[in-house]
Amino acid sequence: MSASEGGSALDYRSLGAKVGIELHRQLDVGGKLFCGCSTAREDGSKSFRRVLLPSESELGDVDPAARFEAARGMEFEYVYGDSSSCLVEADEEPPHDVNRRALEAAITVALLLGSTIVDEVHVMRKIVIDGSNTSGFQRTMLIALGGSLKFGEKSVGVLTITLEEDAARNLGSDGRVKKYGLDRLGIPLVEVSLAPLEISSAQDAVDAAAALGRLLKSTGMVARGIGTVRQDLNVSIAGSGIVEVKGVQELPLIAKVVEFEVRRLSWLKEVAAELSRRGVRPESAVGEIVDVTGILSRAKGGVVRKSIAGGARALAVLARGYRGLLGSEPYEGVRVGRDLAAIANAFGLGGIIHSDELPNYGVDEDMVEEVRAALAAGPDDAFVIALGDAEVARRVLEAVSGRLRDLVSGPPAETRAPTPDGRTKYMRPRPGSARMYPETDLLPIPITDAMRARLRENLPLPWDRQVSELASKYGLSAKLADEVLDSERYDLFREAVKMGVKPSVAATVITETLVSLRREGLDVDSVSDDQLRRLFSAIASGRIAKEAASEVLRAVASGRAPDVDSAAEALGISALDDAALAALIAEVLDRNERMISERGDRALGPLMGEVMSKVRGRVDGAKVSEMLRLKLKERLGRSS
Amino acid sequence: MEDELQGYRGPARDLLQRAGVHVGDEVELELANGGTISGTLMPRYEHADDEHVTVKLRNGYNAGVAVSRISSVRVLGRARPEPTAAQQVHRVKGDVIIIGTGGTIASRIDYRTGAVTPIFRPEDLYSRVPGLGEIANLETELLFNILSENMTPEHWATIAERVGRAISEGYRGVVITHGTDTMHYTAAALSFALEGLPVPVVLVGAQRSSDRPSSDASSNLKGAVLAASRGDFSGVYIAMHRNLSDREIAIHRGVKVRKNHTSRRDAFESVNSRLAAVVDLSSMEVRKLADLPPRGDPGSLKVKPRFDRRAFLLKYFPGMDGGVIDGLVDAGYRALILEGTGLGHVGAQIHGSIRRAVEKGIFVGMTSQCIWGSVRMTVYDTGRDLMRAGVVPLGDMLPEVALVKAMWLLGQGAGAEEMRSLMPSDMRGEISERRYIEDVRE
Repeated sequence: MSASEGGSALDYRSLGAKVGIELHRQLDVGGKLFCGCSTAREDGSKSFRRVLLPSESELGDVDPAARFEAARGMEFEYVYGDSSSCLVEADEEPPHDVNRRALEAAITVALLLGSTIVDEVHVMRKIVIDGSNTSGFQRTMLIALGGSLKFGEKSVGVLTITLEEDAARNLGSDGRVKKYGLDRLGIPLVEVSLAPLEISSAQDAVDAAAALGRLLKSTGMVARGIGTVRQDLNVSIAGSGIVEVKGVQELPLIAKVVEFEVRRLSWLKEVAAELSRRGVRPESAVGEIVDVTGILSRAKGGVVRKSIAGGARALAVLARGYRGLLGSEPYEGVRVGRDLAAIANAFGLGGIIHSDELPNYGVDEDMVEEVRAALAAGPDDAFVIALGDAEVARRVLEAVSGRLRDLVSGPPAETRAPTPDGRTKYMRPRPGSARMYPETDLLPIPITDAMRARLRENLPLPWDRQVSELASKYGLSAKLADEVLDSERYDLFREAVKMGVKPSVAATVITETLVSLRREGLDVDSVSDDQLRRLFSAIASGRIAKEAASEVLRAVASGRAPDVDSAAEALGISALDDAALAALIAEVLDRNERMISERGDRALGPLMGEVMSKVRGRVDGAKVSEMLRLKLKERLGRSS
Repeated sequence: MEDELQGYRGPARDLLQRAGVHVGDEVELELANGGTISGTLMPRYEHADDEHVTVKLRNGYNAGVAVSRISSVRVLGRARPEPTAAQQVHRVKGDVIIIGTGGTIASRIDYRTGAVTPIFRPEDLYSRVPGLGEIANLETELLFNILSENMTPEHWATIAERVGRAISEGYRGVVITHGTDTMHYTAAALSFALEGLPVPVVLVGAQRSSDRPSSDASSNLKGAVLAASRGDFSGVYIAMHRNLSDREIAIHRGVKVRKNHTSRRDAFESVNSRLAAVVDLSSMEVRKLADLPPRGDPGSLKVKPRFDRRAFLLKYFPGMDGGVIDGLVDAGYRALILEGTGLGHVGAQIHGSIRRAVEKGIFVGMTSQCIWGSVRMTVYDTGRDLMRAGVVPLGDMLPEVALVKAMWLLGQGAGAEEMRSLMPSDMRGEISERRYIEDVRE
């Protein structure tokens, strides 16, 4: 198997590549879905603890790792603040009636997509066992079925539109206690599930997602900003299971993720074909789990020796017919061994060791042969080793065995998570069939004809119309207006204009400036909305010149300055007052006496250049020009 | 026989009946506009309208379809009857008996239909509540299963008798599952009816339904069973969450507790009393927080389960008409518990009717709608006038407890004189002499 370049080599059409996009977007409708709490982020200072004990039937189809976790009992700490959480979030009060505006927003989306809205909405409970909902379930309701989304010349069907509550914010773990923030719990989410789209390139998926994103934004009822949108992709090729990649945040990442997945799936198809040629069947793909601690305890150094010396057991399992297939990496990041390591991670182990990478880690050729003998391995066979606590290592190898069996039949269905570099990593064996049952604390909600008619009459303008209205209202180019309206920082644009910042300046800062800083490799997302507000406020009051915006933001995004004001100070670009500017201009004029007397008026150009380079963005260019002209005129007047 | 079109009425029921479909069948609904919707026919909530049909779609979501839009209904497949486990009474010798009266402490959900069925066999409880089996051997018996707001004094009597028999059968402790709404009334009733109680009797309920993973049912049940089997005290208690966290279960004295919140897990509070004990679920320890009666000899128990319903609890409000009291007297009530204001006051306009009641031999006792604190009617004129009129101050006894006590004393045949002397004297810890300075709200 040779390594090949990238997605461009693969023919998506003949592979039968399909992507089903699910877009979740928070709604900004004056409250949460089931209570009137604020949806703004709040870092709480108080907390309480809960234990969740899901029953066997609730676990249902949950995968082995999650079941293992659940069986040990899970304790959670819920952190809260008083403006974003009330008794409803604490699961101490039944839910209030569904937020009407949220319902209308979802129905509006359904109307825009030509979907069929249900006559009566029933709120359901979907069991969630990871503690991200205090009640142990997520409330969700079906709003509409069917419809279609147009993007460019193409279109894709819509499967469902649902309205549901967001989960609590993951704040990490403190030992065995998982921490969550309740500020995010209950924020309304509209979810649009698109039908699987046959793609000829990853760009098709991006285009569809972008178009859907714009449609939602056009309602004017969605929240903007980091963490308000989540995209899940269901990727498949002919002969593969459906792979759910959860939580792809930005559009550019969608392209990378789709490309990676198509490569990974096509490779796994080849692996299955090769295994078949080698005569491997699912039932015979793995052997028994054998303890090889004795053999490996003779390792002369490295991680193997250290682990065993520390008390770990080494268990091994035969992977029949897998020789060369575990370690082979035809594309960067695409490697069977990598997914096996992720399985180990799910159980708390650092990873696994497989025969394709040996000898290594202190294990020499002789030991490899001994292990092979212990497993009765044939020439085409490989093996996998897990090092750790005996029970955990065994469970890891049981899960690994399951995967090795599954791979014989082709790429399995599973859930994966995106990594920042556009690859994906294995999370769970397959999407759990979620346990759902009616939310009996709430009556069903009839959707009347009157309501439909009213919302139909008040549909938002199409995207292009909104863009041209924005362009003409604020004197922006169509391109800039489009970027602004699409931006996650759109609300800041409006705030800035209200503060008195020139619209074109505000628009440029939140779109082109931030984009170019991101291209420089800076973490632009780390610049909070609050910092941008301060920048705009400073520009509006003249404290910082618009030309300096880029430099100030660069300093903040790179971490060189903690905030906008200190960045401005450190860069020495707090605005020049008139007196200082006059003095600077006088100095420049003095130095250029000769040129002035030679060129007269025409000296203005080069003088302007020199002054501006000294001013370095601390004053508005127009102001400099005005004052320089005046001063030059004075000088010329004097000398003549 | 279960209704095969459960919950459906009116136009919706007619449509389904004509089509010959039952709840649980796979159906295809043809719509007037030409579309179709297929799924499983679900039962209808009683309080939803009669103009929609509830269908569970393939994706698991339920949706309502307007009857007016359905042109025809086709049956695609019939429901398969689900085998139901018979309710059993297990006669296995155990330490603790759990008597069910309502308030599901454990349940199973049928995710297909959304139906929630209570589970009550010991082996089901052991698996549903991990660790329960290690605390005690359990026996369970479902006495009845009613919403606690529908309980009557007759139910209290039935429970008392069953508890009495359990104690003579040798159980170390008794746990009673109960709906939370009137659990404190039943706790008071049992405190009086079970005289010389030698073991702990612990009532327990849940504020969050037991079908959800976050339910307080399991931890409350564990706390109750721990208290009943390991507590070295006797008496009637209520076990519920101490606060919003799941770590501690509060054990409240049955005559000093009230449900003080509609929905919180820690809704029950010990009033005018310290918390009796707390169960720490991480260490499985039962920690006494006050002096409690010790365990005793089963032979000392006397069950006195008769309650006379002719007692009334009346909450005073400004401008109340004394005619209400005259009416109660004429209707044959033998005891009137007043929930007065402040230290035990009512408006002057009803003093006449109170006097009339007392003269006719009706017991009139005073408690306070402040709930916290003791009545003290010697302080103001109003109080003194009322005492002169024959009203008996009842100390810091809770109004609900006073009502139950009155019903019980009357049920034991107490006459007017006995009522006057026994109502204000402490018999089961329902009246405390002292109230501590620090905030005892737990």
